[in-house]
Amino acid sequence: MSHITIAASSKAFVQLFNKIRDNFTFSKSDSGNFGPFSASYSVAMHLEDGTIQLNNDDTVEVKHLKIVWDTLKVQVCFNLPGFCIGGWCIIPDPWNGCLVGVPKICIGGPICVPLDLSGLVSEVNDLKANLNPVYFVDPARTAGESDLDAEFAGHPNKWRIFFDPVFVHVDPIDIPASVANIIENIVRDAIESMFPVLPGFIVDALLAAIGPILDLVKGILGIVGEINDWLTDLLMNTFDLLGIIETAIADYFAAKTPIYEFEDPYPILDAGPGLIPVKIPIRNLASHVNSQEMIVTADVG
Amino acid sequence: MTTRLKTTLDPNLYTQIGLDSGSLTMLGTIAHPLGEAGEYRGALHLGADVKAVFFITADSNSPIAQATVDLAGLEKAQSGSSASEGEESCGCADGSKEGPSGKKYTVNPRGYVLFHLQSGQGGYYVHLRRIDAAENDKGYDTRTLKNGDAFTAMILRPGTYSIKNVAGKGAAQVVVHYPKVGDKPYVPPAPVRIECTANGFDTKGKLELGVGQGLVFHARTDSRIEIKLEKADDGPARTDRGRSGFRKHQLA
Repeated sequence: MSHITIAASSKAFVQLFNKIRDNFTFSKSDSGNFGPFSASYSVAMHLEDGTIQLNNDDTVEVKHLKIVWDTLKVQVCFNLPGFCIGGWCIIPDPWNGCLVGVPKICIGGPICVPLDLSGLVSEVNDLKANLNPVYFVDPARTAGESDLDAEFAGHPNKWRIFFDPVFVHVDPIDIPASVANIIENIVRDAIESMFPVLPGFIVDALLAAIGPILDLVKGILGIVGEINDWLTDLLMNTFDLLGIIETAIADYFAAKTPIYEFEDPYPILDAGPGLIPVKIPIRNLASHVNSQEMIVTADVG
Repeated sequence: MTTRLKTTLDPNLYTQIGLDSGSLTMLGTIAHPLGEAGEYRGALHLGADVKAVFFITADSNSPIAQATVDLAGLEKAQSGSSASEGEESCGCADGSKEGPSGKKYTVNPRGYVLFHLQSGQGGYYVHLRRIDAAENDKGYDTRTLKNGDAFTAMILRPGTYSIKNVAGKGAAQVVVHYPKVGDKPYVPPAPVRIECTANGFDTKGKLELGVGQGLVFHARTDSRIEIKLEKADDGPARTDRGRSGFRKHQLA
């Protein structure tokens, strides 16, 4: 029989969880070269909502936890082939094709398409966790420092209870199909504003040579299906953003931010005039859940 | 959010309207057969100035059918060198390292030397002469195309043009149609070939071309081709064109 038993109702547990959920932020940027194109991204996100269920098998399950992408910027750069003149034959060789040809002059160049998809929302579809108590020795505590000195210095040891995920499953971002129109408009704008003085006939020749812009972009990037699906795949799988976020969420809950923590020794009475605080050492702390509540047990001594 | 296309487009491609085979620009080239084996010396002229010299070896054992001479590149490479001292000063070049040097090309005498400009304003002509030519042999000058030469022209500016052989007979009209954005990428059709004979062009009347489509003039007699814009075609009015400024692209 444990000396101490503390319980928090499922409602109280939800409040505890919401507090650490709201403190979660994540940001990252990366870039890569993929042959015919290069891409980079910059993301920042936080978590919202979610439904929490305490289970009798000592697990907590969180569903429909929203990932709000405060920043989701992607840039894809590629070489726009544009329009080539020349390259044809002046003096044909009746036996071997061409004897003398005109060198090619190409109008085109590198283009970068920046996409700002900030504000999109995706979901941590399923997160299952156990509670894991971890004893924390404050690294600021010096050797030989007593519990009392550590308390006065503001770095006492602690028991920390972490929400330790068994698995985290994040759904891919659902990028709307309308991103294709944005890409088309950006490429067209880029061509039309190449030079403020560029004559309209060159712009129109370039647009005519390119043909349907989306077909061209898809051809260059090697997209077979829809552009939005390709973009999702680029971010989630090629850059492995899905795995990176799942790991970041798991790491945050499992090791960075405890759902609750107790000082050790635990203060029973505060210091008074001429009196030092009364503290009791806590040992063998354990934490469990059932469908009704979270239960923390510990021994004194 | 705006983005810009960093293009390789040379403004000379669209600011120089019209062509003259005697004054080469980016949209024109001349293919000239040397005919005889030997050593040739070429001088690149811009007006009265010699901007560069180069040497061509017409070697019967060479498998090379086309020596491509980028005139703008030649001038760039030799600017500041003694090339501009003039033809006389370096006509004696014997390939010695001390003498004024120029770029060297090799081609089979049955092949062609192609003069073109990869970039720049141009306006050049080339004077080519055998190194061992007799004193009274004036050599070849691109301002007058000779039998066997080919002058190619590409027209980017839509409109109606007049074409004339100012060194002989021949006149025609060319209409370059305004480009249309279609379901498929536009590829300029195959070049139109015109024979320049003593009796004029073998093609009479009006020619119709697409933007960037080539015109090849095969000289069968002394020729100098001039292409002049008579009437520009600016296409449909586009008031929405120009600097777009800041525009936020939003997901629907």
